[in-house]
Amino acid sequence: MSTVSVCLRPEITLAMKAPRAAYVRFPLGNPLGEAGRPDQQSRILEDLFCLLEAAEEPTVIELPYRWRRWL
Amino acid sequence: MTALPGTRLSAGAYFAKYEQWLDQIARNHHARNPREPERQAFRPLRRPLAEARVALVSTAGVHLDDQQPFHVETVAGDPTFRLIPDDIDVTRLRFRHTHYDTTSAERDPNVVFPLDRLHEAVASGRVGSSSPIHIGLMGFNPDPVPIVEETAPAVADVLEDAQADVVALVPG
Repeated sequence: MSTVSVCLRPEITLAMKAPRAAYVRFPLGNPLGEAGRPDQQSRILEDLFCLLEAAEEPTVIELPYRWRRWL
Repeated sequence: MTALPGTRLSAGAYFAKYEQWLDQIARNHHARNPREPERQAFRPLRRPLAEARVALVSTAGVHLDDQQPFHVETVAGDPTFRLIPDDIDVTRLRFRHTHYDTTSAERDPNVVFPLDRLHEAVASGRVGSSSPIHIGLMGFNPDPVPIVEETAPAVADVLEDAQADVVALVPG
């Protein structure tokens, strides 16, 4: 099976040698964005799919999104 | 060829922060040293994503309303997992975790368990199908040994039996 993950703590993900991961600068509890924002959730899920297709070797990336509203 | 959707990161840039985290968990959680893998388990896609079966694995402490919640009071963590059928209504999902604020997940489970979003991806043809079974875990486990030696192989067996090609992991 091929794996891909959302990452909120890149220092841990990189040390654990995750094969594919996308770091997003969102708070814990909000890996796919804000509640009630299916557009954000779909966007990040699509980014995971793109990472699956694009990565030809172990790859951890940072996504470009920033958290606008802190809980 | 698909472009990477973000900027590549290197382990070296985060090494100092990782060392700080190791110190923190040793002091605050009586944790054993993490089991850093010797190799990376990179598996190329075995079929195009539009033909692939995708399973979700969440470490957000997710379980169904009629399943035993995770034990979060113990310092040892809870290495068990829950089977989440693909055809459930996400309003049945519950979240038991003490190391993140579950407010957003309780309002909108797709924030940590994007089942509806996965179904939409199937409906649009972006992915082939969703696995009949997904997995819920609770990610706070200071002792990694049971996770590595028991939980992970058992979860892999479940998802292999479900014929998943891709596993998308989402933290809490």
